[in-house]
Amino acid sequence: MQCDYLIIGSGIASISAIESIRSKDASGSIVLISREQHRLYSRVLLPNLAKNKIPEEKIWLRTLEWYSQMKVEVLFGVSVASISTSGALVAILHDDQEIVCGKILIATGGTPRQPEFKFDSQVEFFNLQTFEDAVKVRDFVGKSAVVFGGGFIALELIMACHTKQMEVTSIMRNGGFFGRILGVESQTKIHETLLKNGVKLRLNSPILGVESVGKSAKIYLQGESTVADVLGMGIGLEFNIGFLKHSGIETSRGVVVNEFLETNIKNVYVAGDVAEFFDTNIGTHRLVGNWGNAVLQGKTAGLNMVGANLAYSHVTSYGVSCFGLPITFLGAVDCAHDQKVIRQEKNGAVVELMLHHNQVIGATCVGMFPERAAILKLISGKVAITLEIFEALGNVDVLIGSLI
Amino acid sequence: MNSPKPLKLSKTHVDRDLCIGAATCATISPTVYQMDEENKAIVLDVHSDMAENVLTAAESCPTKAVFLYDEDGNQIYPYT
Repeated sequence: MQCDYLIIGSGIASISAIESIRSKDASGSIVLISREQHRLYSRVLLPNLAKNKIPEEKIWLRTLEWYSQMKVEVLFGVSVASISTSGALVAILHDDQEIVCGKILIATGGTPRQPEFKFDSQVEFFNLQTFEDAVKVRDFVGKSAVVFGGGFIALELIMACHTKQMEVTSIMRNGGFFGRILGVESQTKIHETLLKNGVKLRLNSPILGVESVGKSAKIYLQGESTVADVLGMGIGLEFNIGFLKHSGIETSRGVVVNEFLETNIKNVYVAGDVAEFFDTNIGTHRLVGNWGNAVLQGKTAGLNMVGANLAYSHVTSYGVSCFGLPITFLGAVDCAHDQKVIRQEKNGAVVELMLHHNQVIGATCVGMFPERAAILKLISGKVAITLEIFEALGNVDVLIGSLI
Repeated sequence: MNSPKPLKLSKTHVDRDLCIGAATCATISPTVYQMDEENKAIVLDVHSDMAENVLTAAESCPTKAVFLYDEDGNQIYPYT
């Protein structure tokens, strides 16, 4: 089999890339490899599906006809076993079929990380990455849940189980939610909100093991155990890059690309969660796992695959409402930074600004965030923070007034 | 052969109940969409950007919260 463009992965980064390719190349052949059996759906809406707040038909973002209209040949339920780059670019599928390609986009995302503790096969788990995961949560009948993890997925699982009127215990290894990013003041607001909504918290509590007891799971912590009908897992992703092992394509935690989203192998591009891209705003490689980044990287990579030379430089954000408490992450919140400014707003929100080499590179807010647009301008404008401005950061109203 | 009719928009609106603040609309079409203090998208001026780019911005929304209408008032996105 041959094609001009091979798209590996079927999420929004891939679809966005296809739309960009077709905007400039109406006739080049496109093959899409999808491990899942579904057309594009919104992973962002999966929590709402899990909570039974929306019907299934609301999550689909493209029709099957869209793929025909875009002249995309889709191989559903198929994955790539390996890629050869020594001569022509060739993708080898698990059934040994070979696809010779002109250009490749890798947008394979990640798979929920497996826990390190031992558990037996009878234990019921929740994840929240796929359509099937969300339907399982929605349809589950049980009285109690333990959710392990301290990030966005863990919060969504907690809220989904709470909606189902289950008794929920949140357990994590670290001292609080988003432990590698947020300071104590921000975490405290989140924890207070969870406790107010009846969620039990076990912080600094690694799970040592899980065994099934009848239809329930017994979860062993240090010095105690607890029983629940199901264990929700929100402990991060393993990126789907195993198939690149002998390809010559450089990988690290993800697939390494430059600011044009191209790998060390010409005509191989990457977009979305799996792209370890060179961020020109902060001068380092990083991974970003949010919807906005996937859309915009797909768009950029697709245009570059048809001859553009665009450097990716978008500042993206992500947020969740934790029982009505907005939590917003803006820019590079997870990268090394020299300084952090933490502010308590008049409305009770806690804002954290990450500064590196005298520039604001990221910001978080737990609570309402009226300065969001202004801080986004500081980040994307790479505004140099002078001593005067740094002192004014303690009073954001003054800072914003002087810069806009 | 007739060329396809150019896309013309009459209005756009954002369903605040659906909007979760992904902000891709505001990133792709910042003169049409902006985020407010609740991190929800609001509309500035639908005519301030090329219609095709406004459609791309609407299509990028993960919750289909952005609605677009053509010059005759027909909903063109989300697709019905």
